[in-house]
Amino acid sequence: MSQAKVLYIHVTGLSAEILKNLVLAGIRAVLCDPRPYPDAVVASPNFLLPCADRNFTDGQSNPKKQKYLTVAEAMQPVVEELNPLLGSCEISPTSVDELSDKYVSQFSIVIASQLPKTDARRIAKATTNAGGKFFLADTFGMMGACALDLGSKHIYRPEIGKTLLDPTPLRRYISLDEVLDCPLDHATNRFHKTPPPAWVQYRCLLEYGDKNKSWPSELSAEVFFEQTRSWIKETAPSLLENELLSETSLRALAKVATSEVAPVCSVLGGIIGNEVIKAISGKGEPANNAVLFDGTTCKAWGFLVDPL
Amino acid sequence: MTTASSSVPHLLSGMEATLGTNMLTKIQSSKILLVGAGGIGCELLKNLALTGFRHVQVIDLDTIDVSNLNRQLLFRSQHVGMPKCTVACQVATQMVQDPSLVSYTAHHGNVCDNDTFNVQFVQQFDLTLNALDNVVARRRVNRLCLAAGVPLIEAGTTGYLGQVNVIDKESDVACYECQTQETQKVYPICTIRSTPSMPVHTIVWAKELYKLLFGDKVEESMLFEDTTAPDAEPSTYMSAVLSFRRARAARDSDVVRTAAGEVVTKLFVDEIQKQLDMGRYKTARKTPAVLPTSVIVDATTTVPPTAKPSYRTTDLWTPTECVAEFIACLENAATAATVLPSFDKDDTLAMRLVTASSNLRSFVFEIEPLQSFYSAKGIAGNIIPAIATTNAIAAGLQILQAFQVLRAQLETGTKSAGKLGEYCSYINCLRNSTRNGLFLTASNLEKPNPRCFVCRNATVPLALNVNNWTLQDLLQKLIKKDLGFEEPTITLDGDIVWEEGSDADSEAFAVNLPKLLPQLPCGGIQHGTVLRIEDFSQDLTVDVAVTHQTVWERGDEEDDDDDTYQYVLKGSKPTASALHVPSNGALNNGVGTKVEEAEDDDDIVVVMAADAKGKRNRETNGDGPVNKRQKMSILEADVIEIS
Repeated sequence: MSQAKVLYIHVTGLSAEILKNLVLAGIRAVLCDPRPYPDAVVASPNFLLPCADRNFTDGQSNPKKQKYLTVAEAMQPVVEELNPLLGSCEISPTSVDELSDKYVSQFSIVIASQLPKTDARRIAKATTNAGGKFFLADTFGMMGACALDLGSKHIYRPEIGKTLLDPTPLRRYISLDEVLDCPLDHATNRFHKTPPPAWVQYRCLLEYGDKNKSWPSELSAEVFFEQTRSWIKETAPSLLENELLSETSLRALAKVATSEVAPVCSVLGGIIGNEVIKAISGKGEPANNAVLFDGTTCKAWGFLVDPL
Repeated sequence: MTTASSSVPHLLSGMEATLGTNMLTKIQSSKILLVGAGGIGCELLKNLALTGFRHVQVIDLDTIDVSNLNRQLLFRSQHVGMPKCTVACQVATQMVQDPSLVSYTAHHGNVCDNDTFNVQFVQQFDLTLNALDNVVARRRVNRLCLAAGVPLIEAGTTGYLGQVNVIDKESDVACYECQTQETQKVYPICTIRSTPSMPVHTIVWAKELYKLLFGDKVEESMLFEDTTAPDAEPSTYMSAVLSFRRARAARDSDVVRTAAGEVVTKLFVDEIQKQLDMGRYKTARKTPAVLPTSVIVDATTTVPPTAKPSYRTTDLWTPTECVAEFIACLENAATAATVLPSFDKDDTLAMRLVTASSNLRSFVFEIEPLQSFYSAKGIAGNIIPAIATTNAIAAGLQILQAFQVLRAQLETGTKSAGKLGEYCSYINCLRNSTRNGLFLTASNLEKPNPRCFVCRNATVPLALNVNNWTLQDLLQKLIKKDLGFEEPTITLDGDIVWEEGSDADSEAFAVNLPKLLPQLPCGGIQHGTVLRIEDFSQDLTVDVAVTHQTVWERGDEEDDDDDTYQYVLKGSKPTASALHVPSNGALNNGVGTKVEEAEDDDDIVVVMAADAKGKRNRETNGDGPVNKRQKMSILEADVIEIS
């Protein structure tokens, strides 16, 4: 684990939780978050931002001259302070668009949030081709979801009590590409006769984000509703009557799309932290290929999104 | 702006959009009591700050130790030595958008201090969050909250397992003490590093010493002291440790031998003297004494015990033999083909070193009994490291349950209206998912155990030999220790035979303390007597029905023939909470079928062979909620250490 390096693309409240857990555990972090600071994170419960800058006035950035230009720059000293034994915390030299396959290939793990689907596909492929693992994770209101690609060659040692069994491959490997292409109405299994709500909502947000290069909001609720209904009609018409895809539900989802609730981040960040440690150590059966959390019912589960 | 309903983006915009303006206003106006500022406590306070809570009071007894820094996210190296609650409140205050609007108050003290933290104190809060690491404090807070009518959200973690539960007397749900559990101990890391008092403390320390001497990364040991930082304090032993590591890497036997002797002197003489000079033990019950020089000198001519032909693993080693064994271990390590970088109880070299060094530390701190190789192995094998991610999950779940409690309060206009069972859940956190994929299972809150004397006022049946026990014995061994009374008043047939606490006239009843139970006034305690015990500090009354018993069944492991203080306390006993097993599928978490108590917030958990050697037995009832809570054994869980 001490050799592992994790690249965080866009550090949200959720990825700040994951980062905190892993940095405290001695796993090095590299930041790729060129979003403008502090405007991009005014409403984020990312607690790894400098405390003094929290005291914004009227929601605007602090009128005094900001010391940092990007979110990554602002976080860097706080991350270094979190675990001084890890030394300096690197910042990715390029923007997300320009992250090359070669650059990404040096990381054991890449964790991305609020990332357009197209970028996610590209970076996941580059990461897993080099033997790394890719996690795409976000929270939206009381819900949270993570799609993960452990690579086709991932092997792990199942645990029975304290005994580690012989290495075994994943029972079924599905790349992030296939996961994100899987029609929503195929995302079912024997325990979930209809697609899990957290997954339905996450896919809707990802689709919208890909088309519009931004996450929906209350202001864009109308567009979000229309685009989503159109996408569902085209790809998963059997779900048109699903309550989650009603106008009321979709407008409500647009309202909380960028809402990060700290304890939801805390819980899902803890679970994903465990999964990252499993992925790096190869010990214990990992979640494959999605982790979903509902903060209202306080249930979290692993789920296999399988196009077949 | 941090007020609810502001139209511009702010830290709480997401909270407001998700939970609504009324809930955010309720959150901002609620008064929260947080007990504990360790691993879970830090996570809780961070979450409370980031979700808009403005009125929080934190109770914690501890000061920050360097070993806390790798899990307790609010603390930095400059905070070492300061009270945890004070620093946690200061740092959390800085996380909010407008610190002038929040009031995070620290109480550096023990929650068991009835003068300060009593029922009246707790009554001022809307909700209590527990982030504790010991059973005594947990049952204390449980009773205070029951008496004050304040909902309590309890959490515990053990390795990768954790659970969150909501307790509320009005809601007809189980209290913390409704469940009967086996004993499991939790030890703060500062106890391990500085103030050990039990053999297990020294064995945990010795395992960290092994990591310090042989680990791939020396800084991963909790005993590591960084002497390279500009403001670092000098370390007594790091130089010797690093010298040994270098010599071992170079396979230089002569230097290894010299360095090994240095390590012994630095750890058991110089470091102890340094701590004494710093006044660390001024108020301690026991003051350590440095290892006598003669012990170290004599060791140079002593054969290591494991090298003797007559050696048995059950032998106890003298301090001189321990030094000889310790040095031999380091010498052997220098010539061995491989040495495990992390402790393994099945590795002979590792256990020899742990046995020798833990016994030397026990000797220095006058901790008894010393352990044989065999017994040390038994203890060392049952240590489960705390996991930071589980703390984060548990704390997040507590806040989500807090939202549910506050929503109930908002909708009913009371602290619970007896309806928390409809709003809240009992949640289990698992490392590996259940058969149907769940990492977190949520189920209804349990019903109270009808035999719980704490929340159901049940009569407790007690069997003992009344002719062997004095009132003093009964008070100390049973009423205070086992039943958890703080200030008991005992009445027999309506007349007081003992009282203590504020305004109590203990002196008047002191004459009863040395009396055997049948000789007490009002006919004494005999077969069939029902005595009443009251504790006004906890608003608790319990009737104890006594059965005189002289013949006892003995377990296989029982090796003590003395029946003098044998007793059986039937029904539910106040110990700890259980891990809850989901009702919707078999566990597939690789830990068998039985779970010991999930106990800790952040430190080190040792699963004990519960009371196997004790003089007491307990019979528990299979009825009630207990039977729904299966247990899983997590003895020596094979977890990835995060430290």
